[in-house]
Formats: sequence, structure tokens, C-alpha cells
Amino acid sequence: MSKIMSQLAVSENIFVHRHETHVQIGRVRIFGYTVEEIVDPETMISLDQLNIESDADEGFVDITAEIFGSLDHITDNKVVSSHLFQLLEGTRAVEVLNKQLDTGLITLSEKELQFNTADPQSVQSVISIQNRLLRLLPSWLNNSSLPVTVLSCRYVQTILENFAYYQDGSLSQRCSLVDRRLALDDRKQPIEDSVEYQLVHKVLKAFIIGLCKFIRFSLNVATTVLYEEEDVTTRTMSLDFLTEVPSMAAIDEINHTIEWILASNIEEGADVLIAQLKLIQSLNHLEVVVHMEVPLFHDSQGSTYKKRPAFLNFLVDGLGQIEKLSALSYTYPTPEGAFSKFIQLDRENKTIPYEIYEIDQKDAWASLHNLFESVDKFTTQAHNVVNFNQLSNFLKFDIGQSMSGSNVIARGIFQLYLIRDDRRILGAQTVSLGDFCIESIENISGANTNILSFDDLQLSNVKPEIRDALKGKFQNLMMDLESCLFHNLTIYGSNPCRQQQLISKNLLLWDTLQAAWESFEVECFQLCNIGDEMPSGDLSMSVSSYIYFSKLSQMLEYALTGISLDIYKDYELYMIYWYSSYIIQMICEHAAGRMAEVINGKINYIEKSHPKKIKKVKAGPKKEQLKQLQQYYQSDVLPQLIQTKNYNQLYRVNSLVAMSGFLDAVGVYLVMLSSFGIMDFRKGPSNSLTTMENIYKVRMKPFSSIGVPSVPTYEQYEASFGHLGLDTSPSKYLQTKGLIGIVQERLQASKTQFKQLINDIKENENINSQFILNEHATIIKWYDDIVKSLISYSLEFANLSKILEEHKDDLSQINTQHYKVKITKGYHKYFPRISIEKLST
Amino acid sequence: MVPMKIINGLPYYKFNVQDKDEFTQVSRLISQHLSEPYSIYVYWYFLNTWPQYCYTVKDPQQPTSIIGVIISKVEPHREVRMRGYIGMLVIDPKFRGKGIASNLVRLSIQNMIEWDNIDEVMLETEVINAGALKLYESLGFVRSKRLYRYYLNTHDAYRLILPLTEKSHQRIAFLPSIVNKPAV
Repeated sequence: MSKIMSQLAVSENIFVHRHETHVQIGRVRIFGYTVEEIVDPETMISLDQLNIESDADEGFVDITAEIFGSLDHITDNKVVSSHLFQLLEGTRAVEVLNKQLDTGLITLSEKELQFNTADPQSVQSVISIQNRLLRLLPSWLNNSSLPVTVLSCRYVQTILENFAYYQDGSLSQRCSLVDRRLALDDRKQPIEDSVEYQLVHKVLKAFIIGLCKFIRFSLNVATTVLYEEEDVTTRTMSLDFLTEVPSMAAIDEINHTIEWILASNIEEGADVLIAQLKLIQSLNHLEVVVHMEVPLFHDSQGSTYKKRPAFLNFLVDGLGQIEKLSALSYTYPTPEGAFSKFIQLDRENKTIPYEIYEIDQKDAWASLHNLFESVDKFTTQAHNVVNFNQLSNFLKFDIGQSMSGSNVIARGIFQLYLIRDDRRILGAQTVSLGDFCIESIENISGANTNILSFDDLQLSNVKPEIRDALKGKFQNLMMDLESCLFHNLTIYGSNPCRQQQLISKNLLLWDTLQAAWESFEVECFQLCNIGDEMPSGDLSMSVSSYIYFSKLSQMLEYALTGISLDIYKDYELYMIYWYSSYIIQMICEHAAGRMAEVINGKINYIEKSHPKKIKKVKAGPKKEQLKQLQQYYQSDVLPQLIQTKNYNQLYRVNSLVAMSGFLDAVGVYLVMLSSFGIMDFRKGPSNSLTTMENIYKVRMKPFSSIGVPSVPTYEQYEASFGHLGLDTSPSKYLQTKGLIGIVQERLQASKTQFKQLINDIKENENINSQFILNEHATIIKWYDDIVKSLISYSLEFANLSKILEEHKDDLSQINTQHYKVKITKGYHKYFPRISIEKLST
Repeated sequence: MVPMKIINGLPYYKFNVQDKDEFTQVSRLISQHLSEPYSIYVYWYFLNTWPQYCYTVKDPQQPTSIIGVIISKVEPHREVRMRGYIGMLVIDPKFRGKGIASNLVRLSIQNMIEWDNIDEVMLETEVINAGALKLYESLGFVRSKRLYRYYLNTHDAYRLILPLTEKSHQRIAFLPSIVNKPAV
């Protein structure tokens, strides 16, 4: 109501159509009860221009007096807001007489209005219509909506309206292409046995049925796991996209149609029609992906690379049809009026008028190609996962870093494929979210985590009330951990901006979990001696240790990913590298320190503590049981612990140390640029309405609530510029020169470490068994790009050294009058190129 | 009407909510120069609820002709911070490059601080709108988020924040409510 009321104060004449939503073809109409002030002569149309005479024009009633009368009590000229209306709705609201906003003002040609979907069409015409629909489908998925893409096709609208209208009959009968609203003369049935008739009423119909079924599937994917408007707009103009029709029915319809084409006497174009239909078929087969069971962790050998399962061959077929179809040129025009803004005018429309939106044909093929290719990649990769680290690395690198540019439906399918309704991972019968949670912990903290086997046996010596309280806490904490991991799993397939927001939210979850688990692990150890010990005998806190590692890793990722999203201004870059260096140092210390000790403690238990315990037990069944347990520890658990220890040391710690060296070097480089005054990181914008301290703190806001590690203070940030002593050094030339030498060595060391890492990933059995290395793997490229960035930074230092040499007698010449810093895209998303350029005099 | 300020010879006015012609000029200027179409509801929502935060600049040669406008609001954000929001800012292209936009933003923010004690100011802008980014970032606005395909034209947006108080640096979950809820 507020919308109407806000506009009425100055409205002149208000007309409301008798029929709110039902329309008659070819009339100018005013939908609903929305009314509008005549504001702008350029964008608004006067009511007079419409030549509406309330008495003369049947179908319109002048309700001006009634409306104004009902609003007499509103006197203060204020918007009367209702909880039923939001600002966004207001923005999108259709407003009468504003050409930009009122769909009632859309004008259609006579051919568009009277377009008859029942008319026979030639082969070329049908090919052209189908091709345009194949172009409009990815256009919809490119941040557009159905009404201005696929639903701009009168054939699609007619089929969906008839399907809703005819409740009985076969699928083909219900999806009639005869428009019930056309005059009877126009509805006359052409000769049904003509090929041209069948091309419309059999071929095109089957194509559209398949297309609509795929759209229905896409809508399901979108509403379940994607973000409305951000990823996909699901507005359907209240049309049902054949929900009740099974995909197989659509696939069968296409099969019959292909058979008909093959049996018919179509000389030219039959192969194109078939390729278009087969492509639609392949799209409909995509649904199987979200139901398939992946044999996760089945093949412990993992040496033989498994190819695509046979039932996914439709992906290759889809790619083949795209290749075939994209090689053709489509010059034959679609029938005039077949595609128009008709639906925007015809059906109840809550949005504003839009032109039909079509992406380039080439981009459309690329989008469809990407859909099949992405699904093929991730399903093939997932079928080769034989251990948890492979799964983890696949999610982090092959999906998290690479999939953000994929077709949006492929991203959605991945989400549904990864986590099923029953919370199983990749549909594997043996991997529930709970299993995933335990695996996740033990792949960092090592197997045989005492506190995770929290059972009555362990609590046998504890008072019942304490036991029950601890058991309750344990269950709740495990549920919280599972929720956090569930949330974490939703990050990988999200769009890059949303990934960042989800990580930010996850930081809070990890931090809360850490505090809760630390307290619980201490409590259990103190009250009932449950928990793993380090070799020193102190509590190791396996779960908290894993949580802390995960939290720190996400903090680092959040900070650095902002660079690729172009979130940071130049003057903020040092802040980010400096903070990232601080965080990565924490991770290195934790991984090389406590995390290693947690595993050492578990190894120590198997090699020393448990055998001692066995020795102390008198001979008998209990001793035998313990001996059997020791045997299991030795044969099964110990190798796992050693594998995790090796992987942590050789891959996790080494990659972190190498990255730490690089981040430090970039930080030092930026401090050098700052010390010469050619880059500012301390003052901020010259006209700023706020302080640099406020800017620093708002940038640190995502981390502000985190207890450990706490955000460095602004004073610490400011002081960091002084640590190298460049600002105050009496011999700045020598000081800088010396520092460049040291940093170049660090860069060299990092480069060597990363190269070793790449080598280990390729060659070292302990490491390469933890990655899926095939033609789709992105891990090697990830590290190759870092190495390239390292080399490029080494060159930047060399350039700075040269500049320093040029001005060694007067360093004040290194200033913004003579030099500028240019920041461009680098080889790796975390490291833009920051180069010093000499200004021409 | 008396201008609020005269800067570089250009008069800056508070929007006159009673003047239909001003409303017409403002909505025309915005619809001509901003990519997003706004309904009358949006204009009325801002202009009637927060007329104190809508300022116009008029052409000294044609004193009734509006050449620039800023439309803003101030509201509690999630009940914990006072947030200023700049909804629309348009300068007639013929008058750009004279610092009018910057003056309008400054005027709005100064008044938001004085009258409503705001903690932060927020707005969204297209990632490709280099002019807007340059203006706001030169005033200390920080890109707090990138919003995926935020605009109807498929472009991403940045959410820009100007942090002004301690509250603007703290996560919402850790701030007390500033809204007085009616007693039950």
C-alpha cells in the first residue's frame, strides 16, 4: 500500500483494468492497481497520450475519485511504509506510465502479437529457432532472467501455458503448440502429415520439452545451493517448467523424435536437428550427477588413473554435439515474432521492461561447453580420490581455486554432488559428514585420537553425573564441528565474492569452536585423563590443534584472496602482506611445533607408553587383548601416523615456510618503497574524512573478534616501518643495498623450496599420493605461478638496486617526481606485480 | 530559498520537499545519468523520510536549475551502529570536474556526523565506475566487500565503507544494541 499512497498525492487520473492479470493480445493495458505521478515528460507518458476514455473504452474504469477519497486522511506527505514492502521491491516495482519501469508500455508489432506457434516451419527455420534457444539458455545463466531470454520465445511460452492448462493426455498432447487465445481462424489446423507441420509439432516441441526440463533442473539447483540474482535469477513468470514430468520422459520424447527424423525424408539439416536434440538430451542427463555414488577412498593403491565412468559418457557426447553445432553458421532468420517482449507484456510481471538479452553465439557455445567440461572434470577427479588428503587438495585447488569461473549450473551441480541431502560426502555410503569430520581432524593431527573415541569404557571411573555432562558436551561439540565443516564445504563451489564472505563467517565459527574445544579437552584430561599426550606427557589437544590450524589457514586465505578480488587499494597492500606474514608465521610455528608434537605423542604412545602398559599387566586375557591392540597399532595406526607426519613436514610445513619467506620479502620491498616516499602506506588518501587508524582497523575487522592470534595494534603497524631502520639510517644507501641482498637470498631460498615442493608433488611417493595428478590437476600450476612471481619479484629488487646505484650520491632523487609505482596483474593471484617506473622528464 | 553554502560560486541547497519542480528535476537528473532505473517509490522513500540528507546544487546562471544532487539516509544498521548511506549522487556532465560531487559528499557526511552521530558511511558502486571509486576512495572510503554481479548490467559492485568510530571496526555480533525496543 505504501507504494500507491506515496504516489497519489499528485496523481491526476487513475485507471484500473478490469482484469488484473489476464490480457488481451494487442491492447494497451495498465496492470494491477499501481498508479503513477506524471513526473518527467521525457521518460513518462501522459495519461492523455494513451487516449483512454473511461466511459468510451470498454475494459477501463476511472477510479480516481475513489482512490483519492480513500486517502483523504493522509495529510503529512510522508511515505506510509508497510512491513510488506522492502526497498528492493520498491526499486523493482512496476510503475505505470514510466517507460523505464512500466511493462504495460511495451509496444509490440502486429507480427509479434499475432505470432502463431502452430504454423508449419521449414527445416532451416526450426534449426534457427532451436539455435537461438541454445543461445538464450546460457544468456539466462549469464546473470539474466528467463522472461528476457528463453521465455521471450513464443513457442516456449505456449507449451508451458498449455501444459498447465491441459491436465490430461500424453506429454506431447499437453505440450500443444496451438495457442488457445488466438482467434479460431488462426487456430485452424494445417495439414498434419506435412513435414513442416511435424517439424514444429514434433521436433521443435520435443526440443522445447527437453529444454524446459533442463531449466527446471537448473532452477532446482539454483534454489537449493546458489544465490538468487547473484548467481541465477529464478523468476519464471509463474510458469511451471514441467516439474511433474520425469527427465526420462523428456529424453524418451527426444529419442522418438530423432527416430522420426531419421525415418523422414528430410534431405538437408536432419543432422543439425539431431545434434541439437542430442545436446538437449545430454543436458537432461546431467541430473544423474547429483545422485551418483562416488566410490570414495575405495582403491587404496591409487596408482592407476581411473577414467570417466561409462554412464557419464553423455558428457563427452554433449561436448561433441557442441563442437559439431558451433562449427556451423546460422544465417537463416528466426520467424518474425517468434522471439519478442510479448511475455513481459502478457503475463503478470513484477519487474521492469527489459530488452531481450542474448550473449554472443560464441560465448553461448563456450558456456555450454564449460558446463559439460567442468562437470566432466570434477566427476573424473572425484572418482580418483583414494585418500582424504586427495579429497582435501582436490577441493582446495581443483575446485576452490579453479571453479569460480565455471558455468554457474556446473558450480551448483558440484555443491549438490559434494554434499547430499543425507549429508553424505560425494554420495559415498561410507563417508558421512561425521566421518568426514573425523578424517579431517586426523589428517592434520594424526590417527588414533583418544578423545574422538569418547565412550563409556573411557568414562568408567567417572561419576555418572560428570560422565553424562561430558558425553552431552562431546556430542554438542561434535555437532558444532560438523556444522562448521558443512559450512566450509559450501565455500568451494561458490562464486569468488561469496567465497570470501563465507570464509569471513567461518572465521567466527572456527574461533568459537577453538575456545570451546580447548576448554573441553582440558576438562576431559583433568577429570578423567582422556586425551592424547605429547612426548613430554603434557596434554596435546589434538582437536583444538586441528581447529587452530584450520582457523589460521582460513585467516591467511581471507587476507590474500582480497588481493585477487581487487579489494585493497595500493596504500593498503603493505598492511595485508605484513598481516599475512604475521599469520603465516603463526601457522608455521603451530604446524612445526604443536601439530608435530601431537603426532609425535601418538607415535610415542604406540612405541613406548602402550608397550610399557602391556608389560605391567599380568598374563591373562587382558594382556592378550592389549597385545592384539598393540599389533593393530603397529600394523595399521603407526603407518598412518608416519604418513601424516611426513606429509605435514614435507608438504604442509615446507609450503608454509616457503610462502612465509615470499610474503616477508614482499613486505620488505614495500617498506623500501615507502622509505623513499614513492609509495604511501601510512597516511592514506590526502582528502580523507577519516584517519589511517580507522582504515587499518576496519580492514582488520574480519579478524577483530578472534582471540588468538589477536590483531596487531595500529601502533604495532606503524612501528613495523621502523624495524628495518631505513627511515632513520644515516647510511641509507648501504642499509638498503644490504637489505636487498638479504631479501634476494630469501627469495632464492623460497624459490628453491617451492621448486622442491613441485618436485615432491611430482616424484615423492609420500607426497604425490596425496594429490590427484592428471590432466585436470591445477596444483602444479598453482606452485609454478608462485615460482614465476618469485622470479618477477627478484627482478623488481634488482631494478630497485639499479635505481639505488644510480642515485647513491643523492637518494632524495628517488621520489615521486622521478619515479612511480605501477601495480599490474602478476603471475599468481596473491602477488600482483609492483614495479618502479622512471617518469619521463 | 537560501543556500546552505556557496562553494566556488555554486550554491548548495537543502532539497525542498514541498517543491514539485525540484522533485521532477532530481528524478530526471538521476534517471538520465545512473545505470539503475529507480521507481518513484525509491525517490519518495528517501526524499520524504530523510529530506535533511538530500542536497542540490543549482546553476548560478539559472537559479532554479539543479545541476547536482546527493540523496542519502541515516539509519541504525542491524540495530548496533548508526550508518549513513549514500543512495544516489549525480552531477550534470556539463558541471563535472569542479569538485561538486566531493563537496556534496562532504556536506552530507559532516551533517550526518553532527546530527546523527554516525559510526560509518556506506554505499555501493560498480567495479568499473572509475570516477565514483576515485571520488569516494580519495575521501577515505574502503572497499569492504565485492558483490558478485550486483547490478542489473551484470557488473560486480564494491561495498565502500567510510569508518568513523570504534564501532565501525567491530563485528556486529560483538556490539550492543542501540535501538530502544518497546517494553513488552
